[in-house]
Amino acid sequence: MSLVINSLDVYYGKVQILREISLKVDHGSITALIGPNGSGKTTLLKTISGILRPMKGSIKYEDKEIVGLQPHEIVELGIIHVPEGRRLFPYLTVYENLLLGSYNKKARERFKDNLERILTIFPILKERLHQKAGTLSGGEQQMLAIARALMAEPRLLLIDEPSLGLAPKIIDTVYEHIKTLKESEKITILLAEQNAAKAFEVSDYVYVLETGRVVREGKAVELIQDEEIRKVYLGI
Amino acid sequence: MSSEIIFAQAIVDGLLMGSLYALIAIGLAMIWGIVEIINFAHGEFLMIASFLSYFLFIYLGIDPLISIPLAFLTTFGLGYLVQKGIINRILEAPFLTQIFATFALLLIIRNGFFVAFGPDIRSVTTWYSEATIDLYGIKMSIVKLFATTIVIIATILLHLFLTRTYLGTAMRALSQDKTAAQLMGIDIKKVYAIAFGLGAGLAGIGGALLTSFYYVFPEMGVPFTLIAFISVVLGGFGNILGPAIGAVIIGVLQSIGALIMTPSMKDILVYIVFLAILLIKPTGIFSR
Ligand SMILES: Nc1ncnc2c1ncn2[C@@H]1O[C@H](COP(=O)(O)OP(=O)(O)OP(=O)(O)O)[C@@H](O)[C@H]1O
Ligand SMILES: [Mg+2]
Repeated sequence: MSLVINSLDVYYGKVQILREISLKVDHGSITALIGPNGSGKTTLLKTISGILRPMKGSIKYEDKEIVGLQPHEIVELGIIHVPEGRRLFPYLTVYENLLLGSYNKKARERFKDNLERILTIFPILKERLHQKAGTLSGGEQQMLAIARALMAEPRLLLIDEPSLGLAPKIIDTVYEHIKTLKESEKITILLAEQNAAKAFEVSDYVYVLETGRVVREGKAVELIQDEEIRKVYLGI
Repeated sequence: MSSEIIFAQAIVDGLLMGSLYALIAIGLAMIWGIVEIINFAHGEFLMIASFLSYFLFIYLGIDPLISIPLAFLTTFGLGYLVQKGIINRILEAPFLTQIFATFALLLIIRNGFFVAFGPDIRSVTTWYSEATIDLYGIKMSIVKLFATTIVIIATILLHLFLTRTYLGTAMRALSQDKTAAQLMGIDIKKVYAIAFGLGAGLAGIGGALLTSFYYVFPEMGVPFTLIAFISVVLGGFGNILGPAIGAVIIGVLQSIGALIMTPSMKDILVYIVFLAILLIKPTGIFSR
């Protein structure tokens, strides 16, 4: 197992957001978290990357407890988080954003090679290299957010709502890239996505969150047969 | 002397002094923009450096201009420790708490120096203290020219650091999105400490430069802090050029103010222009 989470409780101030969350992410898989607005998907990813601290519970990555580590220490372990809303540095150039992606020690040494490789995956970014990130289109920004994370040499990639605010065609392109990451780059992926149809299409395993709890889970191919899931999440 | 020469002399004097203000203002702007803290004790770092190079001169005969690197390193180290030991612990605290922290620092350092060294005004005289060079009738003090050169070099180096290195780029990123910066693997507390150190270090260079032509005393930082604040408000802290230009404008205004009014009224022109700009463009001249 790449990631194992056990009975995690997370609070914002006095308000409990996540309740007894337990989940596993298998090596080399795409695991999806789906659920309505406010169900806690983003909160969970932020807790894994160390931005938030759980009140209780454990998060083990490659059998090592990571609760209590600083975000930069978690990055050093190879867990890279592509946050909701991309969170690019808008006044820095595309190049500088990619440079910062490789900030951690290991990735820094291979910056040049990685840059070249990643620009062949995302050729559009090559044309925009010296443009400010804030001037890119929504789709380009999402590509840059993923490319920036790849510069960090992730082994586990946390991606939060990559489809947010994008046109259907662009969403397809973004997900083509995500599938490639798993298949040719052998990166394990944990994905938070409201677009349940897309999530089922690409993932191996799915967790359904509602008001901070895991209410359903299963292999994507099996869970998608479920009457209730189809009705509530896929509208069919 | 013709009035053109007198006027040109005032402008040159203003530019030279303004460049020194610029260095101090850039330091304040770095701390303000990157660490997001208002450093009321900024002038105290300048004062510490000035005392340091004063004593090095008096006791060891080290020329104040030679002690610049040491003054920088000392104030860098102090700034680093202030951030690490105090400010990093109150990052999540309310804005007022942070303000009081740097204000308390100001009181402790300034009064500490009063107790240790008294209110005496000290100064040093070197062979070049009074030396000037003459350019078409305009006299330029050699130390001030030297100071301006150092300021320009320091500013260029800082610019290269901020644009060409990982750490410098991380600092600019941090001022745009702190959480995203953490997700890049940036140890933000460490980077904050280095940024505070650099800001304090720039004030320190300013202090060491002042030693050879200004007075050294515990309250010497006051006007420089004030001018740095006005420069940052005028020029913004988005980049290093804004506050620098703000500071140079202030230097020139002071100098012209002293000429057209009396020297003791020189700051009035500065404040009139400052208020006028704030009324016309409250966000500063170069805000984006
Ligand atoms: N900074 C915050 N302070 C307090 N409460 C918050 C904060 N951020 C999120 N919450 C609350 O936590 C709950 C879970 O939010 P979260 O963003 O994790 O949901 P989500 O599943 O990612 O939703 P979405 O699909 O809309 O992105 C919500 O009720 C939200 O109001
Ligand atoms: Mg979310």
